[in-house]
This record gives sequence, C-alpha cells and structure tokens, in this order.
Amino acid sequence: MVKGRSFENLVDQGDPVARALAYERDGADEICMLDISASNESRLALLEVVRRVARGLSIPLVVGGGVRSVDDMGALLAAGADRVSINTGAVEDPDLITRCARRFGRQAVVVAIDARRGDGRYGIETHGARRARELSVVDWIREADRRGAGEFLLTSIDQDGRQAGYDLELLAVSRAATRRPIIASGGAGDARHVADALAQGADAALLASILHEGRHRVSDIKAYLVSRGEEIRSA
Amino acid sequence: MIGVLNLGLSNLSSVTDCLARLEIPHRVVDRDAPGIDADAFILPGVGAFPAGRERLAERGFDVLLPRAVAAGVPVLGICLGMQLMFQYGEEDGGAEGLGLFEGRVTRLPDSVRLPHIGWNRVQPVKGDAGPVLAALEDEPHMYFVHDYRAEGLSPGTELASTEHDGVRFPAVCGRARVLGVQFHPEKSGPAGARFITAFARWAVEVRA
Repeated sequence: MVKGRSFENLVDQGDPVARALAYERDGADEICMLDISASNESRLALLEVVRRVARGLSIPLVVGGGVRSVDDMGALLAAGADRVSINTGAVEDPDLITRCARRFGRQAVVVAIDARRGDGRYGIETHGARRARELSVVDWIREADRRGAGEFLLTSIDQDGRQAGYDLELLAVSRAATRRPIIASGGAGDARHVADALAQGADAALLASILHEGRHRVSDIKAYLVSRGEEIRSA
Repeated sequence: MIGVLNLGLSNLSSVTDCLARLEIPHRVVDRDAPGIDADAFILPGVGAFPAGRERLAERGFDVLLPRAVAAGVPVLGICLGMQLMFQYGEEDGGAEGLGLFEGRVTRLPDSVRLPHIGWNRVQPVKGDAGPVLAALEDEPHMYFVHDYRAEGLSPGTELASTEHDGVRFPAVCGRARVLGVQFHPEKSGPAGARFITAFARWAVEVRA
C-alpha cells in the first residue's frame, strides 16, 4: 500500500489487508482501494488483494484501478468489490460507463475524477494524474451522469496528501453539476475538514494520509462529527 | 445449514464470506434439485429486477422458494432478493415477481437523490416483531445501495423502515417465515452481523 502527495512521492504504507481491517474496527464506513498506477502500467487492480480484503471486511469495499472493460469490472465485483470506480477507462471510452451500468446496475458504477485547478476552471487528468485532458470537471460530470454513473469519487490533485482541507470550491461546482452522491477526496487534515466537505454537499469523505500516518483515527473524526450533530453511523 | 441461492449475480461471496466469518454453516445452491434441504435459504441479489427474475426461473428457484415457504422453511431475501419476493417490479420494463409478499417494487420518487447509497438508520415498527427484529432494537445504521423500494404492502408486512430525503420506505418486510431486507446486512458491520446471526438462530429454532 502506498500514499503520496498530488499522486507523487509514493511512500509504502504497509499491508493493505491489515490496514483495511484495522480501519473497519476503528469505525470506517467503507474501504476504498485505488490502484493508482494500474492505468499507467496497463494492468487491472490486483485481484488477489481485493479478494483477501473483501473476505475479511464486513463493510462495503470500493475498488478502482485499470478498469477498461465490462469484464474488468465483473472480475473486481466477483473478487469482492461492492462498487467499482472507473477513471481513465471512462474518459477514453465514455460508453464504458453505460455498458457497466447496464450490466451491473448504475449503483455499482463509481466514476472517479482526478481534478486539477486551472485557469478559471477545473480540468481533469487521467493515468494516475499523469495525463491532462481537454475536458472540464463540470462537463465531464454532466456527461458521465447522463451515461449512467451512479456516484462520483472526486479527488483534488492539488490538495491530495497536503492535509490542508478538501478543495471546497471544486466540491461546490461539482455539487451543482450532479445530484448523484459525491465522495470528496484529497486534502483531509483533520475532522473539521471532513465537516466542511459534508457541509459543501459531499455525501461522504475519503481519508487517506492522515489515517495512514496515524495522525488521526476514524473514531476520533466520527466523534467530532457526531458532536456537530451530523447524522452518521457511530464508530 | 443455510442454503445460499446463487443467482449468478455478483454479490454471492459477500454473503458467504459473512456467514463464514460468523461461523454459520452454509452451502451454495446453484440450482433446484430433488432432495435439496436446508434449515433456511438466503436469496442475495444485485442488479435489475427482470434480469434477477430470469435467473430465478433459469435455476429453478421460482419453484424451490414457494415450495420451501409452504414447508415452513425460513427464507431471507437481501436487496434485489427481497424485491423479487414481491408481486411485480417496474424496473427495466417490468417483470412479475414471486408474489411471496403483496405489493410492487417501484423507483423512489424524483425528489430523492438517487441512488440511495450509504448508511442509514433502520427503525422497527412498534410492537413485538419477533426474535430477528430484536436485533434492530437500537435502530442501527445499515448499508443501503438501491434505486427501487417496495410499496403497497399488506398490513403488518412492513417490519422496519428507513427514511431517505424525506421519503420513508420498507427496510424489513416479513410474513410468516419469509423475511426480506432492503439493506445489506452482510456489509453492515457489527449491526448487520447481529441481524444475520439472529436470523440463523431463529431459523434453526423454528425448524426444530
């Protein structure tokens, strides 16, 4: 397992199976496993790791990385993913969203978007934030929604790993573009950042660095959210 | 021994993994066959209603389930598995269901953000709903992922409900020894495990 900053300087963070189970015990509502090098290295996320994580988890598992076909998604679901996120594969073949939604139901199709702040708009990047595309976040969200996306996993490349808070403006423009659930990702540094993302319309917040580095615990963050009156599952 | 009915749709392993973690004896049933017996059956399912209905028929479960229910064998339907127990589902052009419950499965209204994905509180209806529902006494959060819900149930069939964006719909349906849940207990952490354990225990007791 690795984690970086703006998708670079990846640092080994230990065994993904052990980490996933520890986060579940500490109150995580869902585990998200993203193989961010998969598209760049043209391979499908490690099925065997997915299988091992899924076997032990009693909470939902979202998996992404290298999905290029309906069969790729089917293989991840069969390995134990509950929902599958598609990023590069969807940008290069937008109809893939429709085909996967038709086959597995829209609710299983998460479109992951890596967004970078640009000149007056947010642009998207693929291949683990290695390739910029001529497409704005808002236009892509609208198109993906129309094609059958059930949900969005929205990552700010700028904020990723910096622990300075989610990109709230990115969340606001995205929220205005779709009614589908949005998982905010990239930038969480403390519990207040999570509350801010939820207040900005995110349906869920993804945490990575701050948990991996042991700076915060899921249970502490949830306790803070409960104290703020958020209606969440108590840890 | 619990028989897990395999529709060939993708979340079978979620259920068998859950039963294995809870050390509940189970086996996968791929199709109906003479002599198939179990203390209870679980029908998991994800995907669209007509596709699920087709698989039921293909594998003979549309015969197995009514036969089991008539013989007093407890049955638990999960998500699409529960929806297939109703008379009709309107999804994808529509299809007849098994008719084990009265009512139909319709899309949640447009006022609601869809799909309904995530954890939501499950509230049992008032009154003594039996030993399985006792596992929901503290109104736990359970994991939901769906667009459609059951409605038009006969009185007394809705055993617990959930609210999303101001719309309340059945979370647990039950009649005699047939139970259906719209949420995924196999993916709902400790609360879901309590529910599955209560169902398995009850199934063994009522069959004894």
